[in-house]
Amino acid sequence: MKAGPSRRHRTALAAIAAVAMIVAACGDDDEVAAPDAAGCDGEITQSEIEIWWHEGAESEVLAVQDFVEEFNASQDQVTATLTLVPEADYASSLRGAAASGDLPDVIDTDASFAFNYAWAGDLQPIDTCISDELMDDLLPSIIEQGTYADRIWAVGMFDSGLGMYGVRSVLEEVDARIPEEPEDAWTIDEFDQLLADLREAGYERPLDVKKNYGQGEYYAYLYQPFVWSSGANVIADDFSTTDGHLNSPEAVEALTRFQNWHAEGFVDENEDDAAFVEGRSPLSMVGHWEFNRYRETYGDDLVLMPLPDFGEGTVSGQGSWQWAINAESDADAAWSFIEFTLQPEQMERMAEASGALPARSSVAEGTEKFGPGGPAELFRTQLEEGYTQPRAPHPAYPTISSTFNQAIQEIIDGQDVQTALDNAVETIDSDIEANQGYPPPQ
Amino acid sequence: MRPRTRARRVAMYVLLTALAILFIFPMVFMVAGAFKPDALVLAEGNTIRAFWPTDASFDNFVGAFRRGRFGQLFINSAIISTAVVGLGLVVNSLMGYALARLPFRGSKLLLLAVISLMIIPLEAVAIPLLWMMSLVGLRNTYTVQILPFIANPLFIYLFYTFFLGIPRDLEEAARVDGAGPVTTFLRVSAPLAKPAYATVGILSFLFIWGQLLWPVLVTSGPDVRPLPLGISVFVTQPPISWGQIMAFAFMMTIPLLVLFIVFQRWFVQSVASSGVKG
Amino acid sequence: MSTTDASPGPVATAEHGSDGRPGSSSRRRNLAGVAFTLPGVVLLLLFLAGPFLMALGLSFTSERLASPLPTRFVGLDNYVATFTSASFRKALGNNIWFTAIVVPVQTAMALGLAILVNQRLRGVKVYRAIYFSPVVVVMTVAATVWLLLYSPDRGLLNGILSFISFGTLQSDWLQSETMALPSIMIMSIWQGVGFQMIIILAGLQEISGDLYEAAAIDGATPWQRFSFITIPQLRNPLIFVGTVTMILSFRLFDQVWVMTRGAPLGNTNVMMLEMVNVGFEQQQIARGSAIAVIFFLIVLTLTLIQRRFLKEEVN
Repeated sequence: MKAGPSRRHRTALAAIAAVAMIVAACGDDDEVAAPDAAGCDGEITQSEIEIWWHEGAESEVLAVQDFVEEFNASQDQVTATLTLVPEADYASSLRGAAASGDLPDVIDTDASFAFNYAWAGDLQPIDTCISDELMDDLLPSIIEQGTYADRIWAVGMFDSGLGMYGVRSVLEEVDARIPEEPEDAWTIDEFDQLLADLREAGYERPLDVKKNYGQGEYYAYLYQPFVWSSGANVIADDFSTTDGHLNSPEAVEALTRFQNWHAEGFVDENEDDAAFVEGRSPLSMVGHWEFNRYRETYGDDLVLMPLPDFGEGTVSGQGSWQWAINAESDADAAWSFIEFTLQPEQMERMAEASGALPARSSVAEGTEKFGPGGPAELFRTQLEEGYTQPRAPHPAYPTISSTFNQAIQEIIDGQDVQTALDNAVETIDSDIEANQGYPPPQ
Repeated sequence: MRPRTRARRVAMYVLLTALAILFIFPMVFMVAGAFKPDALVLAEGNTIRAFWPTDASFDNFVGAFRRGRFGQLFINSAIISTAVVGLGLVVNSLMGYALARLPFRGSKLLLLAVISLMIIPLEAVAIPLLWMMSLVGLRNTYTVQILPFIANPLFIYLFYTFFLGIPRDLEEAARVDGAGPVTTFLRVSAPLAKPAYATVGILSFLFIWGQLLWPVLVTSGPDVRPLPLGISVFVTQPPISWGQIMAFAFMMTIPLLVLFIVFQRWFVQSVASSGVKG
Repeated sequence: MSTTDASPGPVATAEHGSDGRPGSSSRRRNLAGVAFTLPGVVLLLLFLAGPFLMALGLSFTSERLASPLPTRFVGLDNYVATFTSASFRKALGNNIWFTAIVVPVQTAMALGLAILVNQRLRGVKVYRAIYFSPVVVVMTVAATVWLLLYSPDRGLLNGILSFISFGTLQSDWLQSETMALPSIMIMSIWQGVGFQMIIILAGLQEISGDLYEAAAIDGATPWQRFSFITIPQLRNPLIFVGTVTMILSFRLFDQVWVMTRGAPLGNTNVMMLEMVNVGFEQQQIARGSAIAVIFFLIVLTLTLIQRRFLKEEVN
């Protein structure tokens, strides 16, 4: 828990402070908050820490609960308590908590969401905490996904990947080429033809894209790679604008192809979350987390392939949930827990639970699943050989994500693709402008 | 308007029953779904068997407690609703009584102010209130979900009109016996105002038990979150289990349903009297 | 509060204070009056009046939730941005469309139901309770259940449609651009009409039986009795129900939050959802406040219209 000696006073001064803010609204005396860049100094000064974890997959929750218990038993300097928040509204829960200064000491955030908090001064950089040994072992993609304004703010226990799962026997039935390496990915023309062939073979809705997940970060995770694969970008490299990137002809072309799958009725509604395992759809485009279930269903008949190539090579998403530390907390206390979860043994257990790729190269290579020749090796090669791209590591990411998701939903619902993307560009750019370009923290 | 012939009466019952089916079928569907296995809720969803709890079990209820945290959310809702209804009855009746019976300088102006405030819905102040509550660090507590709903201009006004309508003689008698304003209120006026208390209690319980918008803004995570937000999160929490969702929905309805069945007459009167004013 | 020191003079003459009791009792009652109102006044100031003024103030600034950037005065920028925003305009349009359909339909249905359950028939009270029962199912629950009923592939409604039309009639309901908002209307009417029915029923029961008897003696047809007695006598309850439904239509939020979050293509977006999205999800407190102010002005207008019509009746 954070020390909050002034809470009662603040309560009493509530209305006054609020009125004062309005009255002095034009006086620019608020300084841009610089994060308390203390970082780790090797000395633990806080004995209790609170941890938030998104309550999604149950196996992951159980693993984290175990970690907390084991951590508390393993030492007597720091006691950790765990709060579970449903994933469905985790992001807005976190946003609200940040607004009222109630963030816990250790937060897990999905990929680039951390950087808005970093920018707002709610987090502290953790590069001073990471040991050289750990730094050398972490996948480059993990470091990349945690870096903003030249500092590392977040680190994950695992990384993620997207793939096209297929039923080998069905694909062979329609004489489809089966690409198992990223460089062999189906071209988009090939893929569209395959959908038509599968329908001909009796699969009315041959493609599952997990429509049951609904609109949310999953859209941003799964569909931004389509844009990247087309050769376009979502936002300029200097993060100043999305105009000419997200609404470029390449992006429009790629997402129009995507829209057609829906217009043609190729996509299963998947309300029962069983389109693939029940055999209705022999293709399922989804992340690493379905690997275990799919493998159980189909055994060796399951084939894992890269996403289709929209013109410039296949691209998968990367990055997943990662730990970050509250700016007001003792970094050493918080890090002691995070470090605990990043040990090879814990990491391996978490990877087992989440089905995800362990964040340490040494651990990842050692697993039967992701290791050389393993059935899910593709996820590791994609990450290691540059077939993935991180979601914009920038404070504007929450806006980019929600706006992009909205645009995708509109495209699914039949909106003109150019219009949807132009609107998205306008929304994102006006957010960047309203935040004065998100001046980086000093 | 009494139907005269037998045929008309039969026709009338047919019409009434047909309408009753329209009103009640979603609830039957909900209850049946709560008891059947997940897969069947969907598989039988578009057949007549949607109304039948095939392979009935309590598994979904267990799931709603375990995955949907029904227990925690229910306790939260119970605490918030009890506090809002209880404190609201006290605060609003005291104020309504004072405005009707204990005039002081400025009380007429105050009454006018209360009437004007009746037109500001919660929604019009939710965003600035969220901002204020964030500044003072009250977000994500029970308090922040209770305090804004205690004083309610509509309820103050309902109490005001009710107290205005009860005869003064009894109060005068008590006063002559030497009772002070507090005693008079507690011993004489408040007991006479039972219908007003019932009305306000039921209306405010209906309102707070279903409140969604404010918890969306001020709660993070299930620790203090109430049921309506809980169910809206549960509906989107993969893996989506419609059986468990229906069990959650059913259990969430039970308290109000029981209240409604037990206090049906009061419910009807409360609703009716909410429309009498104006 | 210093008002307790006020001289008893003006107080005693105010409203009903003709008790003429000696000063000490009067002062005590005075004090009690202030003390009784104090908690309510403080709470109303802190949680209603104060935030309302704050909404006005904030709507002219650049305030954001949790931003390190300084707050600036921006004049009418937030209002301009709101009214030029395509999604706000769509939301406002949807609210108006919703109101235009739901208010007359729901009021007429409530009237019809009230008349039905006002008959002297055995067991009519049971029917009345059944028609009212959806009110007891709070909106979030109702919306959740209907979400499944509306499912295109697995939903009961399409099942029924398909059965009675031999498979020809189907709708995508909430996922259809044209049917999404009507779907929410249907569900809202189902949930809310019982409430209105009870209010109108109370009005019906206050109509004196003599009026009908007199009309019957004059040989009035049922339709004449309905249009010359029932409707005029129900003027106030009907106006009340109509305007309250109007205001509720602008407060529409729960159903949309649970069922669609504004999809498809913003066709079910409404002002309150827009306010939550802008003010909270996008952290733009100032623009959210501007939407709140606009919303208030709409409610204010509707309330004034309501009061005006109700007053005419009194005169």
